[in-house]
Amino acid sequence: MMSTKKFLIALLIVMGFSLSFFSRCESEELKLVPKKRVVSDVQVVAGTEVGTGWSTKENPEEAVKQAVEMALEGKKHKIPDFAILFASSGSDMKSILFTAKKMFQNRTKIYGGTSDSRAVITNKGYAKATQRAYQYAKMEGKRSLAIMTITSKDILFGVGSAGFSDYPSVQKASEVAISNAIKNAGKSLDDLPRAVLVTPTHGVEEEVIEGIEKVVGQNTPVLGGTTGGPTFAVFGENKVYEKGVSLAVIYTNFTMGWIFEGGFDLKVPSTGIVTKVDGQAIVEIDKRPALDVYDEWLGGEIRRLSKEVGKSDVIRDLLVLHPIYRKYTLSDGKTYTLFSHPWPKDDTLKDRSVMTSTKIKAGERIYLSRGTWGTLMNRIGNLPRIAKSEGGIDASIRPIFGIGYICAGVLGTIPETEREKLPSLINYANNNAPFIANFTWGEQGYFRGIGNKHGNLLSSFLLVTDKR
Amino acid sequence: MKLFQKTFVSVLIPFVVVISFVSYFVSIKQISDAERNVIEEHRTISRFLSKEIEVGYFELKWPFENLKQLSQHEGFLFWWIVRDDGTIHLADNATFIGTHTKDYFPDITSGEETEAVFLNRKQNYGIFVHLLEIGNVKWAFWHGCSMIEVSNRKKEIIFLTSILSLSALVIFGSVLYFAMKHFTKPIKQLSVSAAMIGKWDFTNRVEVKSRDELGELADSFNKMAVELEKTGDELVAAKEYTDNIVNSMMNSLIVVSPEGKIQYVNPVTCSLLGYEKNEIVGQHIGIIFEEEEEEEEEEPFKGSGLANLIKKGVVNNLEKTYLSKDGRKIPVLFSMSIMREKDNTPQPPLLDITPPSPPLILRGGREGLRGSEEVLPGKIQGIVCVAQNITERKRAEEAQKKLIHELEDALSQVKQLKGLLPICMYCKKIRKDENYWQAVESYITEHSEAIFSHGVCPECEKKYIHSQLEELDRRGKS
Repeated sequence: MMSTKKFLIALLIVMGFSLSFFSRCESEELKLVPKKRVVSDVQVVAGTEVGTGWSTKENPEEAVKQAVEMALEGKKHKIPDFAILFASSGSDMKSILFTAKKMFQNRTKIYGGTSDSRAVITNKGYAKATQRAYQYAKMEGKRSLAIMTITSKDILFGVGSAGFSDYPSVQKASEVAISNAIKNAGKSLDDLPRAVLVTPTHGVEEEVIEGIEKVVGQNTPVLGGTTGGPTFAVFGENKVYEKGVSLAVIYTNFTMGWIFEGGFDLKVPSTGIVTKVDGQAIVEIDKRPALDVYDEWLGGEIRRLSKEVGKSDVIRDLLVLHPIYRKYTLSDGKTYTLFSHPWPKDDTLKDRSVMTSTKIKAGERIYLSRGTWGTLMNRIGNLPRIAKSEGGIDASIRPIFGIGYICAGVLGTIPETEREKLPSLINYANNNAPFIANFTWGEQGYFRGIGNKHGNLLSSFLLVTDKR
Repeated sequence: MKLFQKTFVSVLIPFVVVISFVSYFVSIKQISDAERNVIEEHRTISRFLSKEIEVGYFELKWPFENLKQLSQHEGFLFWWIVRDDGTIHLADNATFIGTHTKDYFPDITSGEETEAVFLNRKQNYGIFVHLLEIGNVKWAFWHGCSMIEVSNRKKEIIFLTSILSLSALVIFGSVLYFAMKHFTKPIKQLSVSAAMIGKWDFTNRVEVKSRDELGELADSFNKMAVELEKTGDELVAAKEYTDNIVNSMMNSLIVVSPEGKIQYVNPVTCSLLGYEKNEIVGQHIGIIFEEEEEEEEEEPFKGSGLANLIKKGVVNNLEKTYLSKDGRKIPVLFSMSIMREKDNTPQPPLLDITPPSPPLILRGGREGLRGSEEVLPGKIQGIVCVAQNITERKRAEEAQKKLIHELEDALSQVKQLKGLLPICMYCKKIRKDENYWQAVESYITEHSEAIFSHGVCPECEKKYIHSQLEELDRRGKS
C-alpha cells in the first residue's frame, strides 16, 4: 500500500507537472499575411497615356529601369512625351537622369529633382527610403524614386532648367528657365501655359517665383515644391543642378484643378506683427524677441523641450504642428493662408530669433495655427478632392493624372506606420487615377487673384481631366 | 492500511476534491469574466470608433489618431474599413488596403446586423464588425483583437488557482499530517506495545500524557501490562510444563482440526512416522492412516464411528495402522477425544448431521466434523488423538501364537504314542494292526520325529559281539 509520504509526493509531482504544462502551453495566434495586389494605371481618355512606376533599388540604373518599366507596362508608346522624375535626397541624380534619358532615347522631356530623403509616392504605393530626415548618415544605401510618364496628343509639355550660378540672379535664372520651357513646348512667350510646375532648390523660392512671374505673369498658376533634402538637386536637360530650378509648362484644353493649402486649424487667437526680420529669420514680433513671443503662444513648450530633450529635431517636429501663417484676403472676402514653419535660430536658444523657410516682411501680421498629424494626413488624402472642388470638377470624376507636392515637415509628423496609407487616401479622392508626389522642403502655389506664393507646411496638387 | 493513513487520506482526498471543484468553478468564472471584459472593452472601442468614422466620413476626416491609438492597444490585431463589396478601403497595415476580407476570413461577412462579434477561441481572436451609417453605402468597420490576453489570463488564473490550491493543500496536508501524527501517536504506541506483549515482552509502557480517552486507555493498557508481566512468568512456566509433558510423551499425539487437518504433532509422532513437523502439520489426517477395508463403525473419523466419537466425546483403544512416510505400516492403539471451547453456548450444527459418504475425513473428505456435529455445548476446536505403538506387542503376540500352534502340533503327536502298545515280549516288535508286527524303531520313527541310529551298548557288546568274535576266532583256529 502506498505510504502517506509517497502519496503526497505523487500529488505534488502531478500538480507540479500540471502547472508546468499550463505555464509552458503556447497559445495559437492569428497571423494575417496580406495578399499581393497589383495596381495598374487606368487610361482615362483616349490619346493620353499616363503611367507611374517606382523603385527602392539602391543602384540608380536598376532603379530607373524598374520604375520606367513599371510606368510603361501595357502602354502603347514606349517613349513618353514627358516624364516627371523624383528621387529621394541622396540619390545619384546624374546617373538617374542619364539612365532615364538613355532609356527614353533623349526624346522625352524630363522634369524633377530630389524628394525628401524619406520617400516618394505614386498611386502604386509609398516608396520608402528612410524613416527620418536630417540624418544623412543613416540614408546610406536607402533610396527610392518614382516616375510618371505621359504621352498625349491633347496635352503639351515643355521643360526648362537653369543653374543659379550661371546667371546674375536667381530671378534671371528662373526667367531663362521658364522661357526655355515655353520654347521647349513649341510655344512663344506670349502663349502662356495653363500651369507651371516648378522645383527649385532650397532657400531662394521667392526669387524663383518672381523670375517666373516676370515671364508668365501673376495669373498663371505656378505649382511646385522645393527639392527635398538634406542634399538638393534638380534635373536640367543634360545636367543636374545642386542650386537651380527645374520647371515644366503645361498646355492643354483639358480642365485643371489645383489646390495650395495647409490644412491647419486657424482658430487660434495668438497673433502679432513682425517688427524686425533678418533674411528668413524673424527677429522681433511686436518689438519683442520673436522666440519669446512664439514660445509664449505655445505655453513655454520650446523652453521645456530644450531643457528636457535638447534635440533640435524634436523641437522642430513639435513646431511643425504649430506653424505661423499670413492671411491674404481678396476683395470678395475670400481668404488664403500662407504658412511658415518656424524653429529657433539657435539650438541653445541664446539667439532669440525664429527661423522660417520663407521671407516674411517686417510689418506683416502673423498668426499661430495648430494641427495634428491626423488632420494633416486627412488633408493630404483630400488634396485631389479639394483640387477638384477648386477647379469646379465633380468629385466623382476620375482625372487623367495628378501631380502633388507635399511638405516633408508634415510627413515627418505622421507616424511611420501611417505614412503608407497616404497613396490609398489620395487614390480614393483621386478616383484611382495615376498620380505622383514628392516630399518637399517648401511649397509653391497659386492663390487665385493674389498670385503665386512660397510657403511651408503646405501641399499643392494639380490634376487634369477631360471632363468637368 | 494503517489508521493514520486511512484517516489522513480519507480527510485529504475529500479536501483535494473540494479544492479542485472550487478551483475549477472559480477559474471558469474568472476566465469567463476576463473574456467578457476583453470583449466588452473592444466592443466599446469599436462602437466609439465606428461613430467617429461615420462622422469623419462626411467631414472627410478619418479618425487616424484614435485609430492609431487603437492599434497600440493591447491585444489589437487589425482594423479595417471595409467597403460594401468586401474590399478593404483602409487598414492599420496599408498592405491590406485594396485586398478583400474574404481572402482572410471567408466565413465572415458584414451581413445586416449593426454589430456582430466573431470569436475564434482556437486561434485566440475576436472580430467586431460594425456597420457604418454613412448614407447609402454599406461600409463596415472591422476590428480584430487578439484573445491571447484571455488565453494568457486563463493560464494565469489556472496557474494562480493551482498555486493557491496547492498551497492550501500543502498547508492543510501539513496541518492534517502533524495533527494526525499527534493523535495517532498514542494509538501507534499502544499498537507497538500490544505487539510486544504478543511476543511476551511486558516491559514496554505507553507514554501518553493526555487526559482524554486515549490517556485513559494508555493507563489501562499500562496497568494491564504490569499485571501481565506479573503473570507472564507463570504462564511461561505453565507453557513450558505443558510442552515438556507433550514432548515427553511416549505415545503419538496428534491434534486434528474440525476440517480434518493436522494442527499439531508431538516429536514422537514425527519420529514414528518419519515426517518433519512442518511436513505433516496442515496435511489431512488421512495421510497417516493406511487405507483398510473396514466397516464404517470401526473407522474413527467416519460414519457411525465419527458420530459415536461426537456423541461420547471419547473413543478408546482402536487398533489402527499408521502409514509412515516411507510406507511402513505401524500398528497403533488409537484413542481420540473431542476438544471443545470453553463456551457453554450450544452450537447449532453447521450442516446435516448425517455422516458424509463417501468423502470422509480419513479419506481426504473435506466435510469432516462440520457435517456431523451434534448440538453439544462448546464449539469443537479439534480432535485430540493419542496412539500407542504396539508393533512389539503385535510381534510378541504373533510369536506366542506360533509357539502355541507348535505345541499344539507336538501335543497332537505325543498323543499317538500314548496308550497300550502290544509288544512282543521277545523280539520287542510292536503290533501295528492285527497281524502286522513292526520293529519298535520303525514304529517310533513313523509316529514321532525321533530317528534311530543303531549302536551297541557295552553289555550287548560283551554279550553278543564278544561271543561272536570268540566264535570266529575259534572257527579260524579250527
